[in-house]
Amino acid sequence: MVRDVVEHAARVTRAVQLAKPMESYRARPMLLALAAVASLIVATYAYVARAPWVFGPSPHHLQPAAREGHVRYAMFLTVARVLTFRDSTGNALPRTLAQVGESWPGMSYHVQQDTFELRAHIDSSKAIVYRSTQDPAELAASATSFLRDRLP
Amino acid sequence: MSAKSALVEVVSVLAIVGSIGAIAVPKAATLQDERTADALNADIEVVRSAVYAFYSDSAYFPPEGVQGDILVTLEPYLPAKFTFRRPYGVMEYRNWPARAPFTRPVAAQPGDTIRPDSTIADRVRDSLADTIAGVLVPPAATRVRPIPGAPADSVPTDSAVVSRIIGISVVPRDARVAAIAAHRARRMARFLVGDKVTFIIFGA
Repeated sequence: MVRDVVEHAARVTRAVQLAKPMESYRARPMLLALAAVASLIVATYAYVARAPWVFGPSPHHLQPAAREGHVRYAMFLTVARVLTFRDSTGNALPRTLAQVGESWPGMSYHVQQDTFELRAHIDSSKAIVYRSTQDPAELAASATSFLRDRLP
Repeated sequence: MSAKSALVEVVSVLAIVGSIGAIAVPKAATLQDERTADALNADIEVVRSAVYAFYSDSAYFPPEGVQGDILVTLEPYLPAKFTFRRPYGVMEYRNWPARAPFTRPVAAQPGDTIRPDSTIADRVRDSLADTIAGVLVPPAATRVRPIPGAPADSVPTDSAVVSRIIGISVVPRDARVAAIAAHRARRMARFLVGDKVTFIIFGA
């Protein structure tokens, strides 16, 4: 019994004597700094680019061609509504789009005697203008391909 | 370990934790918006099913109502207490005229050469669309006057309302929800104008 205790004490004493003081890896601060820089770059990029994987899709992230296609299709539907109103009222045009139940952000409507003009802004620098003398089919022709994503 | 190294480590850890937090907070908000967008898309499916059920019973699509107000004609087909004023925004049922020059399908006549790539489904759909057009629009009401000021050869004198384009517009309180809903409903025909997302459920 005493022998076991002495032997255990000797083992522990030897282990304590042999133990080295804990030492950090020299590279650890550098690795941490690199990781910090990388994470800061990712976070900064996510904020500056408004990354969809962080902020989700935004209306402003639509491709310009798709945005134009969507606006064109809305104009196409609006023109169909206005023309149908005109047909049903003996060539009278609605005074406002609200009169035919249409309201689209960024779309304006102007009546000039017996013709009308529909204008929609895609962004601050580009607008689509439709005049009632034009074939409305032109509006929809290039638009429908943007309504539905192609399946893989 | 020198004090300088310790400082570098502490600052680095703080930067990493801050970066993760800066990404996690907006990501959590996006996840919430995605749940809202999923609810919006589920509601679109509910209304679409109701519209189709109405059409199945009536052979025409319900006319439009006032924005946000549920259609009396659709009410029996919708779940109890379903309203068009949703927690995320306002839904609106839309029923646009589709005019002949753009949408009129050409049904095969006896003796016509059928395109080799047209399927039986195509031909059935075209014939059905013609039939629907005939049922929906009385011929007397479909004539369209020439467009004033337009060159005569560019005016579709036989243009007519032959079908309908049926859609559901939603104006969510948060424009991001509209964008996410449109993004997540890729298989549906839909378009986004400003903060208004519209799903086409028939006729696109």
